[in-house]
Amino acid sequence: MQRYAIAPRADWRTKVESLGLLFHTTEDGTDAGVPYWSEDAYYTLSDADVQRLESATNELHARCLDLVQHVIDADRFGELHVPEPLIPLIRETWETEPPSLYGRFDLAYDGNGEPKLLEYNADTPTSLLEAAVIQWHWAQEKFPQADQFNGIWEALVEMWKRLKAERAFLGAEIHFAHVDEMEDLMTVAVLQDTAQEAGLVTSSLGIEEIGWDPGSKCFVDLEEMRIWSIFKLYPWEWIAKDDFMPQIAETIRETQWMEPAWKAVLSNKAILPLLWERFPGHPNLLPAYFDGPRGMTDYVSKPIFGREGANVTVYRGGQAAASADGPYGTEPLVYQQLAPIRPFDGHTPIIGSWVIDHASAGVGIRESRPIITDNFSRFVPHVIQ
Amino acid sequence: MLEMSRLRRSQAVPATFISALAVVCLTGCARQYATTERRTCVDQNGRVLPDSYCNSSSYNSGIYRYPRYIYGGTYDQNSGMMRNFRSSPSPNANVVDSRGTVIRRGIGSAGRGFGGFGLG
Repeated sequence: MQRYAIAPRADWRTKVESLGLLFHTTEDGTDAGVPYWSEDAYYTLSDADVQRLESATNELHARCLDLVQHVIDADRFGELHVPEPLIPLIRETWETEPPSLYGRFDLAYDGNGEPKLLEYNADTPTSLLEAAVIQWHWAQEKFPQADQFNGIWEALVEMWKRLKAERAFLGAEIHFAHVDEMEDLMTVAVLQDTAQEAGLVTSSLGIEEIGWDPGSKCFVDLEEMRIWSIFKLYPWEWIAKDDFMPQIAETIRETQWMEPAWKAVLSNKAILPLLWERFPGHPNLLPAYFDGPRGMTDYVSKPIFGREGANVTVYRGGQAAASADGPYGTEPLVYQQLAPIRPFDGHTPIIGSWVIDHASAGVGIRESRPIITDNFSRFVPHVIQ
Repeated sequence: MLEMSRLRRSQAVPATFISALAVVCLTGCARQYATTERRTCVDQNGRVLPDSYCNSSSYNSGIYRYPRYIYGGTYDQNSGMMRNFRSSPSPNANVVDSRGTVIRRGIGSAGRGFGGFGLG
C-alpha cells in the first residue's frame, strides 16, 4: 500500500458533480472550504493487500453474524443498550430474514499485518457514491489499464437481480427513503439506480414523508399507495424513538424494512468488546472492553452510538492525546486498543470495506491529518498496482 | 486461494439515474416542510364525507375513484363542499387527517444526516 501525489483532472469539479458528488467540498467557514473528494493524491493496493482486505471483510462479516445469533440466544441486548421496542423486531427479522443489502466495515490497515476492525456501519453506511461511482470514473480516466478493488456497482446490481428472481420482495415496487441531506440522498440514489438497472420498479421519498394509513393499517407513499418493501437510510435506534415505532412493530410481517432491524445489533460499537470476548486474539480484532482500558496505555474510548468520530478520545501512554467534541457525551463508552496505522505523508488512512449481499465487494479510502477520522476527512481514490 | 487475475473493478457504472438526479440537485433539491395539508374524504362532487367512507374495503386509492381523499383546499360553508383542492399531497407537505392526527412525519424526528467512518 502506497500513497502518491498526482495532478487532479482540470475539470474535476464538473465531472464529479455530473455524477452526483455535489458535496465534494466540506464547509468550514472559509470561502474555499475543505476538500472532501480529493484527487491530488491516490493510494495503490497490491494484490496481496486486496486479498487481505477481502478475506478480512468476509471473515469479519461471518463473525458478526455469529455474534448476532449469540446476542439473541444469550439475551445480551442490555450490554448493547438496544432500545427495548427494537428487541422483538430484531428477533423477528433475524428469523424471517428480509433482504439485507449492504454494510461497510471501517478497517485499520496500512499494508502491514492484518486489517483490524474499527467499527461496522451495518445499518446506515454512506459514502457509497464515492466508492462505487466517483473513484471508478476517476480510474477510468487516469489509469484505464489498472484494476481497482471496486466491484460495488456490479455486486449491487447482481444482488437486486437475485432478490427479484427469488421473489424476495413483498410488492412490485421498492421504496427508498432518506433524510434531507445531499450525502444521504446520493447514497440512496446508488441503491435505487442499481435496483432500476436490475429491472425493479422504484420510487423515493423523504423519511418524514412516509405515511401511515390508520384505516388500512399500512404505510403509504405520497400517492397513498401501500409500501411493501422499503429501504430507509435512517438508523433503527432513531426509529425506535419515533412516533411510528408502534405501527412498524405492528406490521413488521407486512412491510419489509431494509436494512432489517437485526442490523441494529451490529451498527453499535458495543460489538467490539463482545467480539473480542467471543473471539479473543482474532487477527482482525483489537482488544476491546466495556469497563475500562484494563491496562492498555494506547487506546481509544468511543461512545457506543457515536458517529463521525464524535466524542472519541485517543489515549497514548495512558494520557489523553486527542479528542473530538460531539453530542454523544452521555452515552456508555467502549475502550479499544489504538490501531497502529502508519501515516502516509502525514495522512492517516482508514479503509471503508463494503459488504454487498453478504460478501466483500470493494473499498474506499478516507484519510485525515488528525488521528480521529471525522467529517473533515478526505475521500481519496485508489488503484491496484 | 483467490484468483490473482480476477478483475475486481465493475465493468460498467452507467449511473443513469444518479446523473439525472445530479442535474436536478445542482439547482437545489432540498425539501421544505413549510405547509400543512389536511386530508379530507370527499365524494365526486367534493362533498365532505367521514374518513370511514374512504377507508372502507371498497375504497381504491386510484385518483378517479370516489369516495376518495383530497388534499388541501378550502371548505365552502354554504355548499358543504371542498374547493381548490389537490388530488395528491403537495411535495413536502405535512399531511393531517380530518381529526388533525398526524399521519406523516411519524419517522424522521431526528432528521439529520450521518455516516462517516473512522476511529469513532
